[in-house]
Amino acid sequence: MKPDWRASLAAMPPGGIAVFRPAQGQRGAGRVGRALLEEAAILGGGQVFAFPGGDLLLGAVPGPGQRAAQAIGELTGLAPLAWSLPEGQAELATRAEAANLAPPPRAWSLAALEAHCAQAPLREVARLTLFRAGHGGAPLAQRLGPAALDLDDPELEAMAREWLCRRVLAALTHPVERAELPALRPGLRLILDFPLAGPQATPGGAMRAGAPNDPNGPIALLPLAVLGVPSGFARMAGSLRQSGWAVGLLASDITTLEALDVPDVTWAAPITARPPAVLPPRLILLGRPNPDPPEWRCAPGILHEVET
Amino acid sequence: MSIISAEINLDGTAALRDAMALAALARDCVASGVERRVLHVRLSLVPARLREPRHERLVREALAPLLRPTRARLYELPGGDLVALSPPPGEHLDEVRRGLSRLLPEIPADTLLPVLRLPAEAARLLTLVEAALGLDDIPAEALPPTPSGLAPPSASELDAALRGLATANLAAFLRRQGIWRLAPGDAQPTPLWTELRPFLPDLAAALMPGRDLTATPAMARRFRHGAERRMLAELAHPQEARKLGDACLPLGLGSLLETEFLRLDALLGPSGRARLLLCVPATDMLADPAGFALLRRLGAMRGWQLALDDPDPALLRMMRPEALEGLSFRLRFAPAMLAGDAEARASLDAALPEERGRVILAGAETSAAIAWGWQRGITRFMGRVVEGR
Repeated sequence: MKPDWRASLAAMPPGGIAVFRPAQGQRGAGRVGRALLEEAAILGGGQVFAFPGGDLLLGAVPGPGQRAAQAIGELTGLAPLAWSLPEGQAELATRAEAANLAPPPRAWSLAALEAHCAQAPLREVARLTLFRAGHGGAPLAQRLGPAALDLDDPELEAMAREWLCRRVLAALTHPVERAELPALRPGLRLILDFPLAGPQATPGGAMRAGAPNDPNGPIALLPLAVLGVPSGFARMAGSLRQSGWAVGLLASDITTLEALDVPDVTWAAPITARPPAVLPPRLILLGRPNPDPPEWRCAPGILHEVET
Repeated sequence: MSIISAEINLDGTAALRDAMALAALARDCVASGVERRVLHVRLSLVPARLREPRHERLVREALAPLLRPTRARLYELPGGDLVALSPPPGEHLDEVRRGLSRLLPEIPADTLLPVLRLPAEAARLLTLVEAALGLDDIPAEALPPTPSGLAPPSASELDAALRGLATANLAAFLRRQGIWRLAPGDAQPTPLWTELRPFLPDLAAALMPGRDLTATPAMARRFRHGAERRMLAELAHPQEARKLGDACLPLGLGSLLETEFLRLDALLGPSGRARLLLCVPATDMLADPAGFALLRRLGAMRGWQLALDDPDPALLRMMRPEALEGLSFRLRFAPAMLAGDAEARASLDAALPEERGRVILAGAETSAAIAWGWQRGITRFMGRVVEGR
């Protein structure tokens, strides 16, 4: 039987510390955060409560808790909340109560995830987003791809993307199912998501998009993991370009662009407040931060998402 | 040191060192113009009947003029051949040549005992050294793995296997292998770390008989992580953690950013963590760059070493040098690395990180791998050649 957090809080001696790390971001960051709080609890005397909505450390002495909070901030970019006790008790109790009552994230089995990806209605799992360049004007490009499931496990998210990509591509070439996909807009450049296996995964094999080697042709968006076998990527990129596609790489994190130098590709990555240190010549920014879209999204060579 | 030995094992490393020294000497002679006579004693051609102890003694006696330390520089090549060098005219080389010819009249002396002159024939000498090292042994194109004919597991079968793993006893499925330092001047390899990992093919066969996991990389990775987390759970007890010592744990990114590893990390303490090397597949870095960046920051804070496991050299070429800072690399030696023209070799060399002390060459199954590594300043190896018998 786990001790009740309210009883523990009431029993805290004055001069103690409470550190709360809200559950957000990826699972790995949460695991690291909890491990550091647990270490602080051992070092400083205290307890960690793992709520669905976040982890709470109640520590008898402030030092270890403060150091853990600082380390978590440096590692994950999200500093936890910290209160001195008993001063912060009321505010802390509100947060802990809400975290305790938060719904736990769904634990997917592979079978359940596969079934979801196979059976969910196409209009739910396929997503069309529009992009433009600069400050104003009409959209220039449209991306058709699988909707993100926002799972906290990047491995499962990647598996779901694979399954959904194949489904969307199959529907595109299917006379009946095609009507269930969001309607493509005429005249806009197409950005199409492909699975790891590339165009070979599509039912009819390679899809011809236009004249060979057109840098302004539609963009085939491949997951970054294709670079794991560079020779395979080179072959795939070559055959895509032959079929009239431009090659795009989809990174789940924009800092990747600072690490890799891949010639002749268009990068796509989630938008961030600040640009990466190295800005590639062609970049597609995903997502629309509200209310403060960063100004750098309007720089030359960048397509950014706009309201559909 | 055995004189007649075609085997490559631990004392083969002395032969490797000799071969490297001989190659360097041939180049020096060319550069300085110093003349030398070279006798190549191709003991590897000696028929099996003369390898019996009685005949071995005769061969030894015939070689005696070379074995007197002051007379000539003597080098033993991998494969058992000897190379003797002497300033001209080198009468004792002729003496040995005559003695051995009498012993083995059936092999023409020019075949068994070729004589070379340096610096004129340095290229020939280098060719024979490379041949002895296996560096000219360009392998045939590797065959793609034959499909097993077995079906991949379904998602629910893998779910069941992962549940089975959570309570499985992995003891019978763990494999240990050393990582050694072996520099050209070393008499013996020095152990650096012991690699510990679950052996997945056996484990998969036990939990999913009749299924082929390799056909679906995403599922194989999921299974790998399940097995690793089980192993880590067994290691994350104070008694086990204390025993870990200098360990290399090859772990997926998804296993490292999980409770089991983080518990072990806490138990090890600063001194235990300093002895730990973690090898993460390069493909995991691409699949989850944010998670990998978090892991690197964590490593810098906690004090264990992080290596990229099995990166494709072409991938390393695509990475900016500053992105590789502080990382070690475990490359897998492939005989195909010996193939290719000068351009392909130069391109491969350019992909290696400049700090060769951070490179481990795995898959060193032949002396050619050690020679290849030494030529590039790599002194950390893993494989049958360095593994004691």
